[in-house]
Amino acid sequence: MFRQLLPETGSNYDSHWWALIYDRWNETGGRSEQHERELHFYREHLQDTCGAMLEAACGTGSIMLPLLLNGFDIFGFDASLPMLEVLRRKAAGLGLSDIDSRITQQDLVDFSYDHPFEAVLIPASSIMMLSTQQDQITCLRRVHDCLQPGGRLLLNFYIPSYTEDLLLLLNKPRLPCDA
Amino acid sequence: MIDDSYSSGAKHYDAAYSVKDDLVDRDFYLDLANEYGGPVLEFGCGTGRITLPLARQGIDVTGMDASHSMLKVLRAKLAKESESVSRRTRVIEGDFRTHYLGGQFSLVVIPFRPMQHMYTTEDQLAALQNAGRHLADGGILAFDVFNPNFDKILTGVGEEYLDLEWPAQDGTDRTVRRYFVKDEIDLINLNFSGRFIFRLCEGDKVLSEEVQPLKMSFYTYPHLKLLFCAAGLESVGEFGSFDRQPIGPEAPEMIFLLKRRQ
Repeated sequence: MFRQLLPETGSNYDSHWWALIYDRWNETGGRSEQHERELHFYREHLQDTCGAMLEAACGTGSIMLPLLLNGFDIFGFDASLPMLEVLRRKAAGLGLSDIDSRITQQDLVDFSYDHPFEAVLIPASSIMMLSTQQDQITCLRRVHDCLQPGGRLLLNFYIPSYTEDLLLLLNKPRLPCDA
Repeated sequence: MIDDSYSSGAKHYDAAYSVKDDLVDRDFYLDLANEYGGPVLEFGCGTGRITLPLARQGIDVTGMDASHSMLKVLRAKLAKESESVSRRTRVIEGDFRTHYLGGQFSLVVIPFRPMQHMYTTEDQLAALQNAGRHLADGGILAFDVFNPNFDKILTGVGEEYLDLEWPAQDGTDRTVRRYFVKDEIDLINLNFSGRFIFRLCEGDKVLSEEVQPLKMSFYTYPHLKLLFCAAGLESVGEFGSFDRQPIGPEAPEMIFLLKRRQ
């Protein structure tokens, strides 16, 4: 069923349907437990950070908005306008009025800010979306350029299960919420 | 490697690998030495399986290994070689992550998996950096690792299997059987640990047994590319097998020819 909702061609990131599905999947769907664990991790490791911080690939704000509500001075960017639109609507519902000054559309391999951050976050294994070594290095260089001296990058990856995730399920479609 | 855990391995190494007829790496490295000329430095030379044939071809060769017992076997073999071969061969007991002999080598080789005995990124990088420092201008570093077959690596933990068998060479018809059992897989640091079990057998009766631990790291292709980058090396040749087929998903090896980056 999801398959029919997704665009036949092009990137998922241009799709409003995908933005909504992704948001639900993260917050109440099959990824919600993992999402809670990640949120807990970032909240805990950022508790001594009082300066500005940046979430790269913030998506629909599933990490960024709870942290904003916790009082963190957090900014975010994402390549997907539909995702940012979902984020904006959720922020309005939460009464977060300055959200437009905090989010921009930028790419994970081409982003920049004119003020440095005390921390940069790349949650949800987002950096694993970068499939070339060149892009991975470029992204990390951009992060480096955004950090103040001594600033920290916090990110998480999943550990690949080579047999199950990558090899055995080749060409066997399944819903992402089965993951 | 440094604690010389190879002692019982050293005793059996030559006999074991003399029955293995698919070790085509030797000709690959001999061809490279003929192409690029000497002097050649070999990291992890062990009992001299590559070192001695190089010297016999008229090439000046330095073999470095951290295992005293492996080098003892090599020195004993060297004593039986001709004067010209022993004159061309230098044997150094040293740690190839740190031991430096000067940068005069046309070719540095790390044949048959010594890089897979580097278990941390720091050690892997140190070994490649040290190899690079030994290269003369335009010199080539060549090494091989296996291309990990994850289906094989991740399965069979705890299952002992017969890996090799060879005549005991003690004047009887006894044989030595080498079994391998994998005990543990570390998917974070990409290595596995296990044991070789050497059994002296008369027919199917086991007369004695020795155990030799084995830990091997394995590499993915992008991991290696980053190590080269960090070590100031650039790849000038890549092969998926010793007969120089390209690297691909089914390739048995990942073999690299590297130069110091300008």
